[in-house]
Amino acid sequence: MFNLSVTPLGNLFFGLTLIVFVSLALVNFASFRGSKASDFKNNSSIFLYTLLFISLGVIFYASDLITLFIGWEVMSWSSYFIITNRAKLKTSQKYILFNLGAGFALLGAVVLIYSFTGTALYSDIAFSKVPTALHFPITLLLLITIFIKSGVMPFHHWVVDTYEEADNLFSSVLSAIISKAGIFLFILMFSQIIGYKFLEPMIFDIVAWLGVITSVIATFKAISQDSMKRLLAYSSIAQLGYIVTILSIFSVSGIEAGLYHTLIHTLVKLLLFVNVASIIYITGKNRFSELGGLIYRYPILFIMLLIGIIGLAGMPPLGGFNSKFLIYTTLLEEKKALLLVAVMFSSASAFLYCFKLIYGIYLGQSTDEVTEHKELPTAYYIPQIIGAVILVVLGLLPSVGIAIFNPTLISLGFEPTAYSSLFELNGGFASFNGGAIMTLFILIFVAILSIAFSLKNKIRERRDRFDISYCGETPNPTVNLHYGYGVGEELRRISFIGVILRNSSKEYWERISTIVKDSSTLIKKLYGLTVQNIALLTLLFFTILLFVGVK
Amino acid sequence: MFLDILYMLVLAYFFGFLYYGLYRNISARVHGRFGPSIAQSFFDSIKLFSKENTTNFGWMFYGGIVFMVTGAVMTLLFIPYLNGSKHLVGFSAYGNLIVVLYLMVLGPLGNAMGIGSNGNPFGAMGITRGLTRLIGLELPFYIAVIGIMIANETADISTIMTNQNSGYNAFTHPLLFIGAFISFLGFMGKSPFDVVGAPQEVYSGPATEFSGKFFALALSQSAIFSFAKLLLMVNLFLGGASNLLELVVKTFILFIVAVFVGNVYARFTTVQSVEFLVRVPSVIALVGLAFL
Amino acid sequence: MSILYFVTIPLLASFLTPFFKDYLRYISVALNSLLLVFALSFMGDTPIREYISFDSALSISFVLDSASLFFVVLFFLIMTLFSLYHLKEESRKDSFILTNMLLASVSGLVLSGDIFNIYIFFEIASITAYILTSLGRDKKAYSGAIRYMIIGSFASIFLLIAIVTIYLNLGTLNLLTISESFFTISQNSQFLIILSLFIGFGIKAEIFPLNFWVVDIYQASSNRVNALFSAILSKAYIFLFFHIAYMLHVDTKYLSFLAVIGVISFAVAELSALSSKDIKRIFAYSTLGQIGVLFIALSSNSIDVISGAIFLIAIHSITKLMLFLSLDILEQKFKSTTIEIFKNFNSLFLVVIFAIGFLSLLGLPPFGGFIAKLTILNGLVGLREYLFVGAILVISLIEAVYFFRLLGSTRVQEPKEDIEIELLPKVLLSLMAIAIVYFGLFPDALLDISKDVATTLIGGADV
Repeated sequence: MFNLSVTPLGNLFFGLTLIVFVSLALVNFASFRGSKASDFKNNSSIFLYTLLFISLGVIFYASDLITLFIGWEVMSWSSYFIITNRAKLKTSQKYILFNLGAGFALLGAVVLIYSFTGTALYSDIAFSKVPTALHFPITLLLLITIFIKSGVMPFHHWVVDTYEEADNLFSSVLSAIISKAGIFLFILMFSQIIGYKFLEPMIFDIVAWLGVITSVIATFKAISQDSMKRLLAYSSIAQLGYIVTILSIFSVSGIEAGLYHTLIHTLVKLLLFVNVASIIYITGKNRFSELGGLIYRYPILFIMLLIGIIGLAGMPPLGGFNSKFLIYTTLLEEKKALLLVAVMFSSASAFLYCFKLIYGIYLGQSTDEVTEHKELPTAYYIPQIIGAVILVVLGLLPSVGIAIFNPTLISLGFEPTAYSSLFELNGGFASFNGGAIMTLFILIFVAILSIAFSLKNKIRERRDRFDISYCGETPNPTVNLHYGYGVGEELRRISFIGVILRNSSKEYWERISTIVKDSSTLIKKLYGLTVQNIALLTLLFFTILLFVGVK
Repeated sequence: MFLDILYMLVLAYFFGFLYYGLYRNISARVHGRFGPSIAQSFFDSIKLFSKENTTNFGWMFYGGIVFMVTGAVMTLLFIPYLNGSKHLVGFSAYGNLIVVLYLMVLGPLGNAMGIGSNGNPFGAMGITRGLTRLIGLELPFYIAVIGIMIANETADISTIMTNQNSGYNAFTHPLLFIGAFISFLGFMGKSPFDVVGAPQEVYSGPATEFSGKFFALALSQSAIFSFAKLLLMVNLFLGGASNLLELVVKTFILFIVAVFVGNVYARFTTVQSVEFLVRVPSVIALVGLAFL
Repeated sequence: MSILYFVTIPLLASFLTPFFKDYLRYISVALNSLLLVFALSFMGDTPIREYISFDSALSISFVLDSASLFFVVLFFLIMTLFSLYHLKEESRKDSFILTNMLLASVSGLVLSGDIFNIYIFFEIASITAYILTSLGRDKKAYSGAIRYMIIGSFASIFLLIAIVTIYLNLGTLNLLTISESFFTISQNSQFLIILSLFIGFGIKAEIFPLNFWVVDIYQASSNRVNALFSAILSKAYIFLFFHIAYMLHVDTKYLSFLAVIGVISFAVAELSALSSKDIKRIFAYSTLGQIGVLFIALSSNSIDVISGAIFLIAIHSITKLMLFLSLDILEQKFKSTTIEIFKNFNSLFLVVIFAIGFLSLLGLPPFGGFIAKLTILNGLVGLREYLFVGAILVISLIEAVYFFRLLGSTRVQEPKEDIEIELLPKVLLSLMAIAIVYFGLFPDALLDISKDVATTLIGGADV
């Protein structure tokens, strides 16, 4: 029953898992060794992390559906136990219930496919044996699994609270890798096992729109957050929305764009979450309104975050642009103008929360000069440097990504994408030369910098942090000079954004939960009956059935 | 090649400041004043290079400004000046319209970093307003650009220019053009969308702490960037230009229309800008999209 | 070597209690393990029939086929583990007598080939159960025992009605003969018999709507007694219920009715567990829920699904034994079984045990419960019973709510007390946990046995 095999798709996702887990293990090891407040509470954490890692390997390398499911569920409950380290009971309940819901939906689909095709092995499954009437239920079940795992609305409620309340470093595992399990399932099930010809295009048009709507809403919610990790959580939801949307375009370029964005997003979120974890470690604070002005104390962390932001926003010359570019060219090729408008709209709005992230922490004025800062273990830089370096390399040589994905595309039965040079990225509809952009950028930057510094003359040094132009007066320490909380305030007054921010689908889920709880209390009364009543009921039951049966 | 680039930069610098000077004069006449001399902007920027900075705000502040100029220059270099000519095309062969759209945001974002680092809350407020306004601005603009790209089945600006030899996009896709133009007003910093840098509003907004040669750099980048945006609009909607004279004429006409519109309207607040932009021009552009 | 030893030896042992006052616990372990080995030796030799004749016209038959062998092995295994667990405590006469009588009576229930014989063992088992409930010797235990007695007598009445009706119509008490000639009885009588059997066995098999008494009884009894009830007693009655049902060749409408009752049972039990505040009751509800699933599976008349049910029975018995014994450790420390105690103990060992138990009950891999659930669901889809599959999955989600709430509360940051556990209980609990994991990873041997059992069960009389 337990079948594993090495495939390019599995290699790709497992490679990402390796990068994330190994770099984080180094960080955990360092902080575990060095300080009291570490993320590895005790040995059981080490066991659970290893178990989680193995389960991810099982998911990605499974060669039959049952093995896939086993890996999936073990991933769910091992990550649950790691989350309960720090999260509140309510949040961890939400996490496990949503994820078990995803797991059971997957089980339903697996059992249906297994039963009709007679085999669970990927290579042997002939989906044509499944009767047409069941195509929609199976697709729906798989979509539910994917939506819950990827945080597509309205199944996203577990994501935000979980990311915020889990251990800081584990949040990066959640965002970087565990969220990708849903993406892996999408590609595996829909592209490989089931195949596009059995899937109803209209359903996936709707899926594409759900993804994009999720992105738009999540982007605006991200902008209005004051907690660093919640902002990143909503950002993750938004980015995964893009991936879900572009994968619903059933073409080679769609899958390529989706894979590229998966790669970029994993690295970017690894970088960002570890950076945020570093700040929380150092200052003990996790809200923008309590931070600020850290750039000159921690310049390297600032630069790391800057690279991360440029990658997240998808701007040239770094690698983040490549995946956005591929997404746009795919949508242009397929002439999906409205989808493209929505994606670009959401991308542009993302600049705001990218700015908020870097401004709230590093720029502006510091709000707290008093609290002592802890020393950051060097290992915290490792995941960040890995992420940054790969982003730069991909910016310079964008087709390296294409080269990595080609084996996967071939294994899925598509034609590999040709590229003329590693410096150039060809999206079919259009192409650009990443090497040229990056080289140009560096050259011009250096040129301007030299102009700026060639005419150097004496500059007066700042007296203190209040030495700013402030409407003809000098602010004093009681004035809050950090605008960290303010980024995003105005958004609430814009009508359509305000509507998005004020409402939430949470109440519908809570209503379901209340209904279940109430019915529970009601039904439980049956089990508190006295013996006489039970006897009476039984007699009644007997008599009624007797009359019904004996005619 | 290098000469080409230099030529492009000089042209942009020159015409950018020239137009700005003209803008000040025309606005003045509209207000019933005489206005400064047309070459005033040149004098201003050159003078500022020799002034000293007021305070040292650290390397990020200056890095931000350098970033901003780099962004402007890069945007410029990826837009071809002339239609169907080997000269003055810069690096447009290595990029495309999508690249240009993103490079347009690169500079302002770098600027945002710089301004954020000086610790002045007004600067940050200005940046936030700018970014919020950007949400509104880019919607109609991107709709129009997407429409153009799909209609021409390419993202290459030169090709889009050449395809307009049979008719300018402004006339074949008028609704898209109107949507883009209204957005363009905001990109150029003209009313009614100029709340970001409005001096009466947020104590000059983003440019609060600029001084000395970095202020000069900022002014230069604003000249270059304006010209780049004008160029982009002309290439996309007015068929580009086959020679320099035609280029000057077309950009000037576009610029003047923008100036006149700007002078007439009062300023929107950020919230009003976004609401207006998301409603009126976006819907116009969307309808234009339907007629592709 | 007679199969009757399974009945007679435990009975005999209980008579010899006064002579071995201090060595009872060792005798327990020895006896149970010997009989377990004895049972295992029968594997492959089935079926075996034995008759005790007093007269050519009156004879009592006992049948050991692969189904009853499975249950006999299961019961003795559970009892061996149970008696090993109590090896270090002092010998108690009452528990010795009662556990032996329990063993004897459930073996008899499972091995009997005569319907009146079944009634006799039914009564013995019931009385044993009533007294077991009262062992706590406090007000709660006594009142629980009396309530149990009343309900149990009710069940006996209905069973008697069925037996009498059968005898009046067919003139025989032998199960084989009855099953061959059952169709000759009039429709109305058939219906009366089936209905009475449903109620009679149903009350003891703890199926909705006849199981309202269960939870209070579980709360009244001690945890150890609950372990025996859950792992041994209820399984015996469930086997009996379906054994008789398949022997009587009940029609498919009745089987569908049973499946629906099973689903309702599962749903009601899990929903009620959701708002429960007492862990004993939660475990009781969980048992009722699993019995619901068993009813859905056992009434499907398909070998694949029923083999999943048999697998589930094996795993569930071990799991509930493990869980109730662990709960006992907690109760001895905290003197209470409310869900709050889960927040107050600090023992990695116990948390792991509970985690393995709960995850297996939920049917999560890589534990035994998963294999059982997978087999059942697979089989049900094969029968095109999609609604049952969906229902089981959805209700499992409700089950997950309270089990994970318990697990989550062990990680809550509250002051915790350490718990010391003796070596012997630790070893035994680990053994049970390892078994659950083992059968999750290497289920094939047990699955084959389950298939065998399933074939025999629905084969009915042709063994």
